[in-house]
Amino acid sequence: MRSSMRLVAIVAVLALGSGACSDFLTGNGISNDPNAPTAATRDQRLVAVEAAMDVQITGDIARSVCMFVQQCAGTDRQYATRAKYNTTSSDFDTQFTQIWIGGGLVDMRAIQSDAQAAGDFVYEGIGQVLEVLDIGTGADLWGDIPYSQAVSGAADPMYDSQQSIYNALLGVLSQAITNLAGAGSGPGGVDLWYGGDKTKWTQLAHTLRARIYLHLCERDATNYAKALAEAKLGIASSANDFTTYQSSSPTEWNLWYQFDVVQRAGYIAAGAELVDSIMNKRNDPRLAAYFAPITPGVYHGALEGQAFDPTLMSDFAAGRASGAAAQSFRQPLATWAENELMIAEAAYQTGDQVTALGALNTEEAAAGFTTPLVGVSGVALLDSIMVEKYVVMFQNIEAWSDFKRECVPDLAPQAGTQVIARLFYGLTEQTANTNAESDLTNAPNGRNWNDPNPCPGTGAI
Amino acid sequence: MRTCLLSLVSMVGLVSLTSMAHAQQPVTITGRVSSEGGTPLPYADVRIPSLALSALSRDAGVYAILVPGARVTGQQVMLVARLLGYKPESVSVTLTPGATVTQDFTLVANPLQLGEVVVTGAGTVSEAEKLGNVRNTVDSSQIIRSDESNIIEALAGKAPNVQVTSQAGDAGASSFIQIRGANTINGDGQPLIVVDGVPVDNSTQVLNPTLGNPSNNVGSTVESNRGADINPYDIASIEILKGASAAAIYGARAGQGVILITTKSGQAGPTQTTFRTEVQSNNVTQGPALQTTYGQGSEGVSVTPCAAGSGCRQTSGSWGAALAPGTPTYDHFSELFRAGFVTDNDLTVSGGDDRTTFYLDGEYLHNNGDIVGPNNHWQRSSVRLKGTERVLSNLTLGGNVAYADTRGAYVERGSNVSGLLLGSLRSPPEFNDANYLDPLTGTQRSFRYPDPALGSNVLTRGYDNPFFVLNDDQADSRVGRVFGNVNASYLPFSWLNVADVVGVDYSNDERVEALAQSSSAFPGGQVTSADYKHLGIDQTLTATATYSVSPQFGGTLTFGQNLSSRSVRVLADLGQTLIAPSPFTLQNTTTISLPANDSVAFVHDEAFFGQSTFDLWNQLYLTAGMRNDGSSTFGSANPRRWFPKASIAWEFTKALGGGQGEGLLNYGKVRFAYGQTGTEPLPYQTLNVLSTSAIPDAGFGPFLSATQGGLGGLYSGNVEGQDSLKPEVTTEWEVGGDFALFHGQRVDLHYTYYHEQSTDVIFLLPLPPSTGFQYQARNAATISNIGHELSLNLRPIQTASVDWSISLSWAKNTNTVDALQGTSVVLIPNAGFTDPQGAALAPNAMTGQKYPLGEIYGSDFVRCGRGIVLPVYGNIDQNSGQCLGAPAGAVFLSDGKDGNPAGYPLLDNNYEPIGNPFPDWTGSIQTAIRIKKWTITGLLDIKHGGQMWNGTKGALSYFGTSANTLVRGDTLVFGQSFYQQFTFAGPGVGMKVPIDQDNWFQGGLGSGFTGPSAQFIENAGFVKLREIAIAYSFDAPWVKRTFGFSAIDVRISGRNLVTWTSYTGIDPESTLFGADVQQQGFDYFGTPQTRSFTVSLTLHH
Repeated sequence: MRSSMRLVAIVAVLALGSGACSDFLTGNGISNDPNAPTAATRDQRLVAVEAAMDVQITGDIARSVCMFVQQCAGTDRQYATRAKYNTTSSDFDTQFTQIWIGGGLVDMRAIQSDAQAAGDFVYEGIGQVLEVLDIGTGADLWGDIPYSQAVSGAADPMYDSQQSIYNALLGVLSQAITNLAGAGSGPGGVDLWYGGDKTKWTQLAHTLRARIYLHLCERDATNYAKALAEAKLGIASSANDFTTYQSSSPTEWNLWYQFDVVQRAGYIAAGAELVDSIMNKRNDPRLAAYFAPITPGVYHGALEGQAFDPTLMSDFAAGRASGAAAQSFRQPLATWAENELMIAEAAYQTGDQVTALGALNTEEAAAGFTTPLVGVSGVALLDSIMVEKYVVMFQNIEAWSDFKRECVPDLAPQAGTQVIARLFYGLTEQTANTNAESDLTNAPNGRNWNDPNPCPGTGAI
Repeated sequence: MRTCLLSLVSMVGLVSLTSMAHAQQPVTITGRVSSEGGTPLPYADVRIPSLALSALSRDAGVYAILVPGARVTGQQVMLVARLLGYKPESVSVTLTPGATVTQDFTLVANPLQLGEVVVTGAGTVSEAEKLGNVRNTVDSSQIIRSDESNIIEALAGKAPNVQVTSQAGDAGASSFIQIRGANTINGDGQPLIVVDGVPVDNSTQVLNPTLGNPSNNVGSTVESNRGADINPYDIASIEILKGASAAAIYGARAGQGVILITTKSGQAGPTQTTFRTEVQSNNVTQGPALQTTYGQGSEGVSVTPCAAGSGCRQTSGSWGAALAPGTPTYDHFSELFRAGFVTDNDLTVSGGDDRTTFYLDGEYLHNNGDIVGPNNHWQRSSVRLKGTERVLSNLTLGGNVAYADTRGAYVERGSNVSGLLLGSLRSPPEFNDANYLDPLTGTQRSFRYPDPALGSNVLTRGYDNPFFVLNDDQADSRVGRVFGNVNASYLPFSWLNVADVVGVDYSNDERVEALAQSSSAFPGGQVTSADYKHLGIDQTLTATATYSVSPQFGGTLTFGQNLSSRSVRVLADLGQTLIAPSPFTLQNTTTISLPANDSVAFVHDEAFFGQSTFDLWNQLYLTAGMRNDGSSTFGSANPRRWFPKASIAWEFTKALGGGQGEGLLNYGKVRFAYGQTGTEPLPYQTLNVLSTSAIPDAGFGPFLSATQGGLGGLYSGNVEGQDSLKPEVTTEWEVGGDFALFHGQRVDLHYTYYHEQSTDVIFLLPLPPSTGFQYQARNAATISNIGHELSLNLRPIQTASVDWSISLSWAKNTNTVDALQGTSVVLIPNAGFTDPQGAALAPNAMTGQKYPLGEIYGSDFVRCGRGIVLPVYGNIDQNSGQCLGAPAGAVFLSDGKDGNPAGYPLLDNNYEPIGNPFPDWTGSIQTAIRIKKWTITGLLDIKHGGQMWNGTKGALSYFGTSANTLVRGDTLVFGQSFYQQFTFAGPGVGMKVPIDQDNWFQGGLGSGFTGPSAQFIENAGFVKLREIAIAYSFDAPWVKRTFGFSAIDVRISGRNLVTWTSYTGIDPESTLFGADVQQQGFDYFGTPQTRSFTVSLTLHH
């Protein structure tokens, strides 16, 4: 009897000891993440999206394009070989991925829907311009990419043709322009690029429309006229230039500065094509802003793959407060100068050489050239426009599209018989998406739909 | 948690204490314990069970038990002597008040440890012969003989299929342990470590990778695993629960196996004092071969010397002219290392009486490191106090608390421009790194920046001078840790034992990792300050009933419950750009910047378990059990999971009727076991969240913070939540036998075959980024480990003056990834570079070939057999004349028609499986010879096969400093006079081609930067003389007369003295990653291993 009482007592205590904690496995911080927010405002997303866009457009892609168009020379390790088109599907994986993931399209769409729900059309319009910058860059570099089914819940979004993407983006920009003229207070100062300025965003939208039309010209020359019309509504003054946000804070440093000064000194230098073949010959007033002299006043570029040697070749003007690639230098993404030269190119291609020469001279005067060009016409005029644009678009990935379209300057292929014309798809998307298009059908060093014709590529100046 | 524990504590508190009685006229029982051959046996446990009195024998085999007078009534008691490896022996003695009883014991060898009590986990015990699974036990003498300060490292070579790899020879470096192969993708793959019934932390914390270069897994410094806080001298024995059947009692935490550590306890009897002192010297084993023929320069032209103070920058390559005869050159590897000295002092006092036992140990270990300079050392100060009190005849309470202060200073290494060997091995042979400060400016000079300009103290040096790294950078860790438990054992009835153990494990690790001004990784100087707090609370309650229906049938029934709460709190800040050159504090930086790491992770587990055993006819033993686990890491759709187990063991020699100890087959047992264990998901993978992390620029280091201009930025996290996550499940069956041959069991043989399959293995399934997410955690991989384990122990000579034993072990594990649902490639987290990296690869769809988990995956040459399509040549496997007749895997050589250089290989545009880091088999040969008081022991460790990526050689091939670049300028033929290790095919076979800087090493595919990783994969198998030692014991009477000690043991030993290997880098037994990453087979400017000599002196009182 006594022992059975004892047994009951022990069982009771054991049951108590193991029972009274039903919420042990769940609850705040236990089953959900105490370290990360689960909701964001459109303002918070916009700040991150602009930062991500800055990295995307002025980071590794920009440096690679700079080497592909030979404004820069790859002078060490991966860059020495990448400059000679030695790339694999993992080289641009991060960037290909970044088109859609956090900081990319998924958050741009969240900004748009959030703004729409709040009735802020201006904000929605800005979100749409961001989308075009993002997807447009993707289509420029890779051609066919997922767009219509992207970020929509589809498990394996299909790839859209580059042609259909460009057409869709033209439509998105039209809507954006309409929305920007609508009601709403927009992001204001949260927009670190433009301070929420509707006029500037609207002009940018037109400049971007002009770019897309130009990208379609190799397929259909009638697009030059459309580009001209849009460019005339585009960025109207250099005060409205579209630039990145950077500052002297290390987490906000210019990406070129971070790469060339902090992380990988000697990987990349001035390109001989830009410095020796063009800027030195023209005694270009921008030399000092772009590059560091070897000895006072003396600038030289390197050949692709040539080992870095500071006694022979110029580095970027990274050490200066105002030079390109300085710590807080705000990298130009779309400028009045580019817009003016788009007018010049499109006017030339539509037969209006007077407007073309005028626009070129206006831009060159602003750049510091004191003597305007006189009496230049025909192919020489187009060459002058595109060479000037090649200089203006230093470090800007649009320079690649310009080259592929007009084949100026005459670049020598660094491997094979053609200048590299597109990037490999990123490995992650290719392996994870069952609808992925193969690079093989597009061939390594293949061409995008909008760029069917390789440049002659003799390397002669 | 608190409410859950309270009721248990109150249960213990219910019991009141009783007072003790006292009296006079004690009895002393003394005697000598020796083996059949006459060898004195130390550390035997001699015990009077009825009085709960015991003592340990000393080195001469002598023991003494003092029975208090109050308990002496002239009664007869049983006196039992036990020692691991011998059969216990009992005699009856009479206790006459005031008398001295002399009782010697001669113990018969029992190599199979029959009748020994074995700890089987979660409060359960069994006996060796009843186990249905293989038993691997490591006793204290084996641990002490290893001369390792890290308890994990001490297990190297001790059990088949237990692979231990030290990260490096650096003082305090972590050790990685893997039991029966890899079976999880996400975690660190480390087994659960249980000390005295309480799971303890053995994590390796690497400074958070988001804190900026070089604080990440491939760069940064070595780190300690927290198991290093345990003093090896405190350990009585270790049981390694390898298979799922043995470990199932730990359910969802036992998927990687369990290591059960039992610490030493006091024994009733006279107080024993042991003092041990040890001095060890460490030297590096091997380094890469470097060339000393050619100097800094390019294209055969040497660099022009810079003017002093010019700040001129020089080429990084050693492709200059041949050095003039007599030019001094420097050994850029050996000059960085010295003999590192370790001193270790340990004092133990233990004892007790019939009611109380105590054990007190204090240790101080200091290792001043084998890297030159002041910033490389490691030390541990630890104390442990353990005691038991029998408060009632049926209630015993115990407590056990250890405190460890572990602190280390480490040196930057690995893929890190501020790493030690990265800068030194790239230095041209004629550049003297030792003069690392410029006499003119007092700032750092390096071979790429030899004459720093004034004011250049915040400019990069390209690569840091290694002497700057080891003198001026700082990486400290200071750990304070307290861990221990309180426990109660209560026998309300003779057949029922209720036991409870509540343990706490708390540690705080303060880190400062600083790069001085002019560091190449961050020229302005950088300070990372981080604090890691770990807290674990664990409670296990068990009730075990023992029954015996008849002499033919008995058994046990156990029920238990376990609660576990663990948290890791990280608080880290990054300060950049130092104001003054020192001190390295956040206040002394201009920018304390985001992203800092401020995070906490909680895991709560709750489990119930039951186990039943049946013993039939004293020869057939059945065990069955179940555990049910719930965890906060499981998705809400799958909150709990069952883990069953069952085993059977049959001593068939008993059924055959053969008397034990006679005949050829002396003893035989066959066994079969089945079980399941699990691996918990990582916490917080069930919901979508937003991120504030920095946005990186590809793999190059630049980034922008998501927060800009003082405005907070948030973006969508890249992992999509998954609410149906469940634990990974490992199902295993094993079958084997244990046999002893000849009289006295002179030979014993053990064999086990196991078949283990892990299903529902979690990985982050790569989603198409175009969905907006990159990953989702899925239970979607299947991994197998199948293997054999064989050990053979021989004791050919056993006499009073000579003992000789020899043990051989052999093990093979075949690891394969059987399936990956939804993808063909999963990259193992933090395991490598863009190229190569560790991966789980789905079986090859065409050939069906399977790959191991952790296959090295990276770039390769274009090879036959992959269906590669090339311009001009088309599909090289289909068009005649290309790969025709060549074996699959032959490297394709172009003849130049495709625009590529003729006679050279080409780069495959896809990544390929290029190396298997796992050995084909492992083995060891162990021997011990005792001649009188001399003992000689040795251990030879063999790892056969297994590959390593020699990334160091790949990089140095680019810079022209490695010895393989001496062929520069030669005209060679691939496969004939160059790269003979590969087979070649294709139209370019047999062409003579120039091998030099432009055509091959820098301008071609001949380096790790410009060419495929696969060419630097090497065989990393080795044979190591792991341990060799000679010891002598002074225990003659004069020792006591002269020194006051009863015995003095002197031991001289060597560890890792010789390594036989074909690997051409640093020691093949090393890993770039710490024990937080399970990937093996990477060598990229990691620090080397050491060999050591040790002299130790042990004083017994």
